[in-house]
Amino acid sequence: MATGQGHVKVEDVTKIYDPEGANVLAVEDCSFEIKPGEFLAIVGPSGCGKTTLLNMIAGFDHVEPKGKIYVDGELLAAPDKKLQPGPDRVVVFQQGALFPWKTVLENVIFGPRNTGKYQGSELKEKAEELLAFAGMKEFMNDFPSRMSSGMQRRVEIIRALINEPTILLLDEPFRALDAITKAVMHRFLLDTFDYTHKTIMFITHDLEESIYLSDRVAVMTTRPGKFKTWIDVKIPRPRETRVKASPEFIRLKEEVIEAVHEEAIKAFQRGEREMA
Amino acid sequence: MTKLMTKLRIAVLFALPVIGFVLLWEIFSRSGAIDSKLFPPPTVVAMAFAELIKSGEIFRDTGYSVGRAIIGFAIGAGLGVFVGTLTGAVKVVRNAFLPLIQVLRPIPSISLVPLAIVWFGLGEVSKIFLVTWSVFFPVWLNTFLGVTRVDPVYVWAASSLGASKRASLLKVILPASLPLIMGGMRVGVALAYMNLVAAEMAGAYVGLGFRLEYGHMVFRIDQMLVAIVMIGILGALSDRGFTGVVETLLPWSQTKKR
Repeated sequence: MATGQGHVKVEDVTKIYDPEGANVLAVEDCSFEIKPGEFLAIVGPSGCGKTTLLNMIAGFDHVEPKGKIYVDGELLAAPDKKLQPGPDRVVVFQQGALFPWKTVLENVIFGPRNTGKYQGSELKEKAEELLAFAGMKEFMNDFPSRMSSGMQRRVEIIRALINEPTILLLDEPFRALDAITKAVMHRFLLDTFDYTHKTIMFITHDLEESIYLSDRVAVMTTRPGKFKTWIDVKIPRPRETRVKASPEFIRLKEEVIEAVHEEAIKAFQRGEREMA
Repeated sequence: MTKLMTKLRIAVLFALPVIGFVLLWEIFSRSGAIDSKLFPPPTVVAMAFAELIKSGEIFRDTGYSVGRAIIGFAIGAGLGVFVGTLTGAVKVVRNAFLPLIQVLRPIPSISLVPLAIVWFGLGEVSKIFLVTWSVFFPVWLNTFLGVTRVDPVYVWAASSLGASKRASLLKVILPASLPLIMGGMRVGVALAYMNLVAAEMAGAYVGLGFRLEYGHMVFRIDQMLVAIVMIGILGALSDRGFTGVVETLLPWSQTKKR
């Protein structure tokens, strides 16, 4: 698939897991667009269907019973159109999925080796260039288990980027990191975004992170997941840490917190009902 | 210097109990406290060993035993990985073969010794068959478990990175299963020796098991002990060798987090 602009359109998607059995309505009537080169963050309470949406775009989950997903105007997924995962929509997972039996370099070139995007010395040059950008070139012959979690995350993002995806799908990639490593990773992702201008869909629980990184924050309701609010983040790029202290950032944070808090309370109350 | 000292210390600590055991055995056997016909002292065993070296028989026996073990292991492990991968990854194959394998697996391979001799005679085939049989099951089981229980996130990552089903199986699922597969092979190595010796004792013209059984028939307990010591040494050496191979092949599974 050719590298496109990265325009994603999700139209009226409803997802039911196990319709014959448990019949879990995960996502209901979701419609949204991600503009080419936009950084969209999606936040919401646990189990609200954020990851389900991402998985449907990635091709891990089938769109059913209704809805359509378009990328760059092309219909990719629908109930009668099963989408296969592919390097045009690479996912970075929350639990980390570097192959431990491959070195950093071997991990990075795994995608192009499959697709033939780059070959031979060109591939190695490209990989080294990206690894150098991530400050990881000197570790390229090491195994991932010898590296810190922050380093592993950087390699994983590079492994995704080398495929020049139309859209980068990040599923809570920094969830398990400590605060300091997280701050370093935020810097890295902001730099990466400024450098590549890839369309990014970023799922997170961390509200401050969602504002600091993105162009737009979508707040989802508790299950079944719908969109509750969209908040534009008009803080100019490149962004420095100090923007977190700006009045605009604090105002946005209050707005997001309020929206998410309502949903969290609902989710909590429903949890209590379900327990009772 | 200190490194050499540490190594020397480890060697001494390892050798001392062995030397002590051999010495005690010699003393007890010579003192008449135990019957030296039934428990010949180590010096007598060593002379039997020298005798077998001189006649070349010990080399022939060891060579044959090791050869049978290696050939049987290679066939059994190869089949185990192949069938394990197919039954793990292909549903049709799994449904077709799983019941059969589960029925055959609990049969102790030692119980097949007489059958193998009837079927394949006293030659090489019956020994290799028994070794193959005993190695196949642990390797099959671990490969099957490895392939079916691989962390799905690796498979998703592979498909997201454009890997075909075939590439995903060969480049992701199998390597991810390697630690388990190697564990199965290590069990296989131990079982291979056990069954080989049993098979050689039951009927053979050459081999360490044959030497043991022959010593029994002609009441050469010293020769029996030579065979037993050789079997022990080979078993320990192959386990050590196998661990070495695993460390070389799977450096990533040994590395520690920084």
